[in-house]
Amino acid sequence: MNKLRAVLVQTPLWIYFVISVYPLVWMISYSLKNNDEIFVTNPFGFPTHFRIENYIAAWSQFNIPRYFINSFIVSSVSTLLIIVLALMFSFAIARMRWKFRESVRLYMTIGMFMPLQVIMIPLAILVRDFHLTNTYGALIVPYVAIGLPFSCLIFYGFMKSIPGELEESACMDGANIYRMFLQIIVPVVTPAIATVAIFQFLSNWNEFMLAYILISDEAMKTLPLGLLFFQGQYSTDWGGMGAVMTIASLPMVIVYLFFSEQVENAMTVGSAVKG
Amino acid sequence: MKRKYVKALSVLAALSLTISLTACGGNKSDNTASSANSGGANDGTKKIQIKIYAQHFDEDTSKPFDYAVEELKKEMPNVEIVLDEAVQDGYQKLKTYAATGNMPDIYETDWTTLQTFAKSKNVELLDSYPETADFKSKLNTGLESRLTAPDGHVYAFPYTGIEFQLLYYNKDIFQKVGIQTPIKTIDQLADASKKLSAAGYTPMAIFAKEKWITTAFYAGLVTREDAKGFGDLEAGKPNALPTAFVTAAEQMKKLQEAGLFDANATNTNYDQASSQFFSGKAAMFVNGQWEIYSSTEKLGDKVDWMYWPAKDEATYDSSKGFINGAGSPGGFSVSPSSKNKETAVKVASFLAQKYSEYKYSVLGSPIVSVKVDKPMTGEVPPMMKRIADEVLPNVKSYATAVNNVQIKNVVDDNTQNLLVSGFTVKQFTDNVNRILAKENK
Amino acid sequence: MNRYLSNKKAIALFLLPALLIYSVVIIYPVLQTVYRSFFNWDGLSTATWNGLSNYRDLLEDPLLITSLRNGLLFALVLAVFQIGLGTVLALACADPRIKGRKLLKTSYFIPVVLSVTVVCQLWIAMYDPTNGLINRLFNLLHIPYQQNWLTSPTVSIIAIAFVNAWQFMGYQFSLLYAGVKSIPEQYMEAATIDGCSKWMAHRKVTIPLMKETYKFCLIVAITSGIGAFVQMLIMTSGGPGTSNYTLTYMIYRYAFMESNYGYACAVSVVLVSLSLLATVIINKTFDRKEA
Repeated sequence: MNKLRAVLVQTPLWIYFVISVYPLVWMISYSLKNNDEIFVTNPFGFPTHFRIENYIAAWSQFNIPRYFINSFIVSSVSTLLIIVLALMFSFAIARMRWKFRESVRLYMTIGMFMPLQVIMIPLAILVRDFHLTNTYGALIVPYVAIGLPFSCLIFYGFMKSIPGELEESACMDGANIYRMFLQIIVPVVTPAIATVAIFQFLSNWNEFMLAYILISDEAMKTLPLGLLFFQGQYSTDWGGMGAVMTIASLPMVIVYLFFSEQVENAMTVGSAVKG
Repeated sequence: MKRKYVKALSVLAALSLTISLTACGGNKSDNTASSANSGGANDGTKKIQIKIYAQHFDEDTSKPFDYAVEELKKEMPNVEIVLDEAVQDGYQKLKTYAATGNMPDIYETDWTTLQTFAKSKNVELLDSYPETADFKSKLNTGLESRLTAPDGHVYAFPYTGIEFQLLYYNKDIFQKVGIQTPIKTIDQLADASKKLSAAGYTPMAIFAKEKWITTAFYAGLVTREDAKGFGDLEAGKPNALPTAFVTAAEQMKKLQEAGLFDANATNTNYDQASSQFFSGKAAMFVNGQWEIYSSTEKLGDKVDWMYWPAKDEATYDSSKGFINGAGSPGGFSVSPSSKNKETAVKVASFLAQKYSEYKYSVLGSPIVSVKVDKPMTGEVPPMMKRIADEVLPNVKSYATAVNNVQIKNVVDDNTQNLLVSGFTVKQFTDNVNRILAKENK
Repeated sequence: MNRYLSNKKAIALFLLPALLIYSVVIIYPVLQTVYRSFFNWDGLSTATWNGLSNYRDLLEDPLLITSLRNGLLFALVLAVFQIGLGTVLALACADPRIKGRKLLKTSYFIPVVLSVTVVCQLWIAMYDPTNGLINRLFNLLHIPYQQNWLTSPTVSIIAIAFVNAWQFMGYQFSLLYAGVKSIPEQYMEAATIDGCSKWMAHRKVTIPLMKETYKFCLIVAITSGIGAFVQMLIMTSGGPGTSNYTLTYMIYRYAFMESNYGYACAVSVVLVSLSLLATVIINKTFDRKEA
């Protein structure tokens, strides 16, 4: 009886597992097909003929290692900055006591809703005026600013739900506010940090629009821009695009698989501190 | 104790900032170094650098460009071309360049964008340059609208002629299903679509995910009734659609109801539609005359093009010379902020002519902007020969383009809608009339 | 304690770096947008003041109604699908009795890792009326239902919203999961000792304790629904016609296709105000429940 119930409960979970993993398989097989196979003859199955030439084309079209390194630098530096700044900000909003914190919180929220399309041109002018054009800064600074509202909101939520006793005991122990932040609050929100880190890294890694508009220098381009090489005047080489997308995404999936282990560990550490 | 942490935190913040700054700074110096290297000429003479923003991403776009640049090296050895590759983004990047005052010396854009650039002084008026007079004298007949804008100014050097849309069909399929050619009337086309559907073919492949192609199809029908085409939506300032346009919408609806288009048409891209046609699943295809090359390559002598059908055979015959294509200014423009404006104008005009030369002599396309002295060396597909021998000498008129972008967009939106079952001609006219009334006030 | 947590210098130190970069890069352009919404401006040449006329035109713009309706539908689909499914999956994955939890948990996040382009291409193929898996599935199950998923003006927006909901469910899931995990074990233990069943305990203990997480998830779902854009751009180009337009799509059209930047700014102001309003309402509702 119990076993039957377990199966009933678990089956949907595994069905959803298949629905979640299939796109990965689909993407890889997509990258090994040509347009006919993608659209007409074999849109969903495994490729019958492995078209490695898509990857060769991607490799010869543009400097993949260079783009890769650029993507990595831009994504990791901005993610790091986002986390540090957002943690500090959220702490001041969620745990400290002062008058205008609610308004400041709302102020920080506005940025979440601003569509990129409309701030694009003011942003490009800003980047020029700060002499950041064609530097990593041209992407890092906007990415940090765009990532902040989101991350602050998440951290705020987590910090808000920390029981007050934790702080009180820290206060009793004579720790000052900075130490409390670093040694009590930050460890407790580690699961949130891991989540934010993954998400911010991914969205910076996949970001196309700003990278496209703000970067023209070949030496500074990031991986998503590689997709442009497969768009023809009339026709598009979808298999080649698939190859670029696979080259860009697969390392992320692997990093994520590795990272999710760390998240799990972080969580156990987090609850240990709490207990 | 407290001090210590303030310090630690500020050090941390400072550190993270410096990391990002050094990352930027380091690379910046790299850049200047590399550009200094490439900028300095080896032979000691100073080269003039011309930055050009042009399409250069596939064979169709890179070959003429590379050819023109090679020719330029012979003609003007002191000029060095720096290419900034353009992609099809609706000119967003170019507009950002304009907004940040970072325009390339020469760029390629369309008429809609040129109008904005003209207002904001981001395009050089070429009217009085000697190159323009020279270009004008070489221009192929009937192409004035490609060079001179409706306001009388010259903004760009075009390299193609007036491109137009054709109906392609698969002769084999037509024969198999028993469809008489040529199709002359809308009724015959509707009949043919029923027969083709019954025989299991998609009657016409259309990449209607792109709105311009549904508009082009509609324009094909409009120009049978009104040779001037969309220009008439602006010229007489009508506040409702003229009869020719309503008739054409009714015809298009009729064809849709007869099953001419696939149910998924509005979500079909070029690669899907062309693949349907090339693989023999679709009997007809609609696209510009440039499609001749790839369809000949894929279908050989099975493919041909036909004239646009009209309401009756008399109209069909009398409207054969009305071309479904309108010329509007476009091509290579020069930025007024260019440091070497004179040279840039020379280069722009030269490149446009060499583009034409390549398209004419190597690809065998007669649809180029200027007369070319060189003979055609490439093999000319029979369909293109038909255009050169049969169409171009008998052109009665080209259509005129609509300049107002609101009118253009509302037509685009609603011709696409006509392909959806349930969308009525009444809705079409209502939607377009609303904008016409507003814009032609 | 109070004095301890209201250390002015510390507050300033914590706040300023984030505030500075955010204000310069985001708020400054936002203010410019608000200002420009009162102008007739093509984005490049000199702007001319035209007061409220952009807003007046907006009220008569049929695209606004379409966009608002689509945004609302989109938001609804996101909220129901992501939070509903996210909660169920998060609770299931936190349950030690479920086997393979780690694998399941990891897999649910995979669509988030992939780029939007990949996911949209996949679903374009899935939704294909003749070759697509969805219609074929109906055939296979002998359900006499076929749909032109992406070309029907009424169904397509829901179909696209579902794609977005599905792709980013994993994100909401991971937040909810982190939320579940951060609830001290003792709370649950206490509840189960009191004789509550597992699900009952979740309803009574876990979910109420995750109020902040839910609030956040809801805000994200609703506002990203209102502001949705990329999926429409890739999957249907906003069509057929303008049937899949959203506010952001309007902005894109007016700013870049029609060079009517001032008007696009007015639409942006509407979009931001609407999102802000939704946030405030959600915040208020959640806070009232607390009292």
